[in-house]
Order: sequence, then structure tokens, then C-alpha cells
Amino acid sequence: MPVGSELSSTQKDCPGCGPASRRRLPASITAGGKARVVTRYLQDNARPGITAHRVGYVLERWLIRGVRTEDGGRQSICYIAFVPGLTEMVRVAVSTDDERIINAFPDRTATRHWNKGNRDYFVRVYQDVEVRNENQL
Amino acid sequence: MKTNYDSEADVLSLSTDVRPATSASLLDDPDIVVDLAESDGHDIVGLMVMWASAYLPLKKGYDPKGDTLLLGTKTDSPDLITENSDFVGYWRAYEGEPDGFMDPVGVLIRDASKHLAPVITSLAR
Repeated sequence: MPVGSELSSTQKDCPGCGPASRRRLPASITAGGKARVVTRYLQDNARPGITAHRVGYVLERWLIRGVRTEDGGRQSICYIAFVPGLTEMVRVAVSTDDERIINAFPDRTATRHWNKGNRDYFVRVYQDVEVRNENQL
Repeated sequence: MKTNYDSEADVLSLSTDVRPATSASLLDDPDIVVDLAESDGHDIVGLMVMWASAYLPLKKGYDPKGDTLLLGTKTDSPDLITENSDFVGYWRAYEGEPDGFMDPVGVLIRDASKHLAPVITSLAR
């Protein structure tokens, strides 16, 4: 069974989101009234299914938000949410100054832990984790 | 295997010719996105390494004796080891998960100096 796939029946919920084709992202994406710059790398290397609309959707309607810290102390703020048209949650990483979107991909690992109710995973992998439910959106 | 390093974003990507699934997995630590084959959810067909300068040119995780680069953790007793092209994946199963739900915890790249030669050469310029 494929690891991830798109739900064509829900494409109508996501204007501008085509099938799993690779599209170039714009230089900036506005969500919640705030414009954030998209790194050149991400603009050029957006994964199939990752669109500006979906990235903005995650930034506004995230279910999980947490800080990711790497060995060298570098950090990013990660937003994770289900988006219309995809079966997997999408994880969007933003710079800690909240100015740059640096990564976005359909996250199989997060999806499976979320669907299993394994919230410990998010506490282990992210710091300062916040979890919202649908009623809080 | 194709490799590319974007110095501005500090992202290293490695990929095989196999088409990856739409979704990807994430190593617990560090921030490495693992692309899996559509046909088999445990066959690793690509990597995207954020903050890659920690590993280049062949620093952190590199074993010169075996010419391997380890990203993440190579556990003493992984529940699954996969080999695809020169990617060796180490997987951990979750207790009480009857459906075989596993997370990748580490990826070893064999012949690392060969695969990363174009990147290392470009960094030396």
C-alpha cells in the first residue's frame, strides 16, 4: 500500500491545489495576516502536494506547534496540521524569528503518531509543544 | 545516487532513481527528512538533510574506515534494517503496535565519499 496518497475527492476544498505534481512556491506566503518569505530552496524544491495554499492553511489551522532544536542549537518552529486534499499531516518549519518558511512536507511519522493518539512522540521530538483541537480553530 | 547541496539554505539532498512516496518520514534527531519508496514503506530512496553543514565535508557521523556517513542513530538492536541502493535504514518498532508501525531512527550512507564527492569538491572551491 502506498505510504501516502492524495484524496482527489477533496481537491475542491483546496483552490489551486492540483494533483501530486511538483509546483514552484511563491516568494512569500501570507497566512493569518502575516507574510513570510519562502526560502529559495523551498520555492524551487516544493514536494508534490505542497502548495502555497496548503502551507498557509497549516500556519493558520495547526493542530500541533513545537520548537525543534538541532545539535548545533539551531532551532525552527514547526506547525503540523491536516490539510484538505492530503491524507497525511503537513509539517511546516518556520525560522524562530517567524519571518522565513524553511521546509514543508507531508509528514508520515507525525500522521501515524497523531492517529494512534501517541502525543508522547511530539513531546519527545519538539519543545514547548502546543496542541489544539478542532474547537479551538 | 544524485546529490545536491544548497549552501544558502544549508540543505543537502540525496536521491536514487526510485520515485518517492508523496509523504516522507522524519528522523527523531536530527532534522532529516527520509523519502520512502511508494511500493514499500520501508525502502529509503532519498534524504533531505537540514543544517547539513554539520556533516560537510564529511565531518559529523563519518567513519573513514568504512567510508560511511551515519545520520541519526544506529541502535544496537534495531527492529528492522533495510538496504536500498547505498542507503541502510535502521528502524525502531513501537511497543504494542500490531501493525508493524516503525520509525526510522538512522540512515547509513555507504561509499559516502564517492556519493558526496561533487558536493565536497564544490565546497572546496
